[in-house]
Amino acid sequence: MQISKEHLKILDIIVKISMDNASRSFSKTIKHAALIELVKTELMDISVITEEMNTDFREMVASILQLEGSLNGKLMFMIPLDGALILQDFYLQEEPGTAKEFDQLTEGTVQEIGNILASAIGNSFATSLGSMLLPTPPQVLCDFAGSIFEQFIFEECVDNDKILLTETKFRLNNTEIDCYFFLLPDLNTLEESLDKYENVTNINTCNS
Amino acid sequence: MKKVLIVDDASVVRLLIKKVLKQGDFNVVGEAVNGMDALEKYKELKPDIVTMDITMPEVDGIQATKDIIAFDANAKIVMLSGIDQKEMLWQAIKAGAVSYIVKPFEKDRILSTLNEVIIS
Repeated sequence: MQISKEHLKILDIIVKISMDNASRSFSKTIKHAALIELVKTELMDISVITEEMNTDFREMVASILQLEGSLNGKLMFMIPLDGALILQDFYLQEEPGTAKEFDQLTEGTVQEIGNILASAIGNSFATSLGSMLLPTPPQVLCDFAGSIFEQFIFEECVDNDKILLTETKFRLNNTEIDCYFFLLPDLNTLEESLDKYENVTNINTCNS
Repeated sequence: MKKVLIVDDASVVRLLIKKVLKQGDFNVVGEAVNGMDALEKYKELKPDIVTMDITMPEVDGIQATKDIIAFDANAKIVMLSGIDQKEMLWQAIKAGAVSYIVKPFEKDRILSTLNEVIIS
């Protein structure tokens, strides 16, 4: 698995812009500030990242989607179960503590936040790369963090030792709740898209 | 009161839209969870207006809009989606949608758009 340093740098910049947009959409959706605490894009060793995730014993709810278009990839929004209940209250504009148990509405909230974040990322990438990128309907999972993460990267593990992963950590303002957003781009379509992006940028620079 | 059919695969989104529409002159007569369900409910309930999500399992909102318009050329369908991309907007209009609201939405934006669509 290879990606050039230049492409990694371009991806990092596009991801940061995308996550700023996603954070605004997220905050507007829940009428509460979702602050970005970390954004990183790295080529990671699968065994290291899975071992790290397996030490997190929190029960999580996650929404997994595919991104389809000129750039393919997988996206995942993940939040601890107790945080998902508070997220549901924010989304429905109820007093925090109203939602007591995980149910269809909690699942729907995580599904919708995943959809909003994925759409915001798709919109930003589409603007940068000049093509249409659409999210698929989300699949919602409830399990331990490590198990969910393994399911997220399962297909990548078959052929590779490393994955290119972007990780974003949000903190819901005035709460102790952290939530996570991962993007796992498909390297073949990523390289093609970034090549086109580079060419267009070069042409524009020459013309100006 | 104008009759509304809400189409979205997430129950929590349908609940939120219902809450918003209660504050206007609208009566939510039905809910559908995907595009196939939307066509059946449209035929059964004959709503004045439909709010339609795009990304849904089985039959998506673009196909559902085409199907409803094929059944009733005067159907008024407002798309509600997180996808803010020119090509998707164009596809929605070509399918027969009369308006497009980008999520996350504001309460006033939904009410004013639906009112405008009803008047037009």
